[in-house]
Amino acid sequence: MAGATDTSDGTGPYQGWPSELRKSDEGVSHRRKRRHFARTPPISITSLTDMVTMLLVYLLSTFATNPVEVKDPSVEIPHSTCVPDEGLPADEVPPDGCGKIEETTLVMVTGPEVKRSTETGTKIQQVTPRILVNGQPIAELDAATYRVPESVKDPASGGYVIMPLREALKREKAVKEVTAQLSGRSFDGRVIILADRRTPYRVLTDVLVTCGESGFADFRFAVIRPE
Amino acid sequence: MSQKPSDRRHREPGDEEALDLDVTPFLNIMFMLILSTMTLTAWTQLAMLNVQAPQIGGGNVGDGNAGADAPPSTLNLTVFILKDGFNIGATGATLDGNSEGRPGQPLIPKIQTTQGGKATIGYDFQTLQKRLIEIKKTFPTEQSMIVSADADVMYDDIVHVMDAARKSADGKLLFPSVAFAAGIVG
Repeated sequence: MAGATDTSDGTGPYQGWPSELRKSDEGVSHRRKRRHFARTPPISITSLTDMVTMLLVYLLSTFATNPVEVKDPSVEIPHSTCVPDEGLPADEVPPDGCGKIEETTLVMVTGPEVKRSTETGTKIQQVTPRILVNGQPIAELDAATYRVPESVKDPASGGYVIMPLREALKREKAVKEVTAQLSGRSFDGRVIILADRRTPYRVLTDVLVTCGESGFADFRFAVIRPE
Repeated sequence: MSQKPSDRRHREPGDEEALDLDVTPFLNIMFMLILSTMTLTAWTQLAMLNVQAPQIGGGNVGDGNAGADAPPSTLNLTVFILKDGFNIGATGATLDGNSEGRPGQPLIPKIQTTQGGKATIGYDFQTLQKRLIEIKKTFPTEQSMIVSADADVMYDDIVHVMDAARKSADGKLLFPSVAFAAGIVG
């Protein structure tokens, strides 16, 4: 064990080490030393992977149960005490008229203002309320009076039917009837009205009457359920 | 043939490292998926209120209406939402301020409530519900109600009237089948 590991001249690689350490290293092969180094316990990421997978599964399952999305920032949906009965089958009519949200034709009435939080505080920006069918803008409301402009209404209906909305819903009905026929069911005429909480009653009746005239007679109001 | 414990020391040192999978790319994908689902998930839980079809126009009435099998309504219970309060009407009679000895005022006037340290004047939904419970006692089989409102009444208040008319605090159904009258007042 003399030669390479000899430290007596003070130039060897173990200069300054205590003699017992020097001793213990003697005779240990190069290979063995490397293996000892690789055995430093690594951070176990198995539990982390488990947790991440669980989170992902949970998020994907909640994601699947929200068929209606509100992307427009001006819409404030009204809060309600409505709690749907989770055990009720989807086809059955809830006795209290309070059902689960489902995917069907969606008529949206947006709000008059958008709240944006900036560094200086909440900024309120006025926007023109619009009527949308399945996310497609159909008509604009008069921002000053907060009513459907008379110019887009059908005068023959007594001033209730919104003509562009009727056209859009008739197209939607034609599509829905074909899909219902293909799946062997009859057209149910179901429509979800998702309106901003400040929408006046007059605009609401205009929308309801137009929906009814276009063949969508089973109205649902989208509301926020209590936690 | 099983391995003798003494064989362990003869194993190649690289064996253990070869068993370790590199899970870093997998974790990266997982985190990206979580971020995207979190941003896409709607955190507000929505529900739907069923509304009876008004008898206007030629729309076909779907069979999925709440209370469709209820006996035909003879009461015609109507809640009028005015600018300053509620009135309740039925066939042949209207309950308003005149019948209560307060002419010119609605049956249930708006009240002042304190919300978050700020006084606001709003509709008195609790008194409305008390009145509706009384009516329900007299007409226990009645299911339907008509809502008629002033042109400027907010949708929010209409939803709250429907809430008050749907269920009493002890869970009894009142008048869950709500229809809308198109602009009788205002």
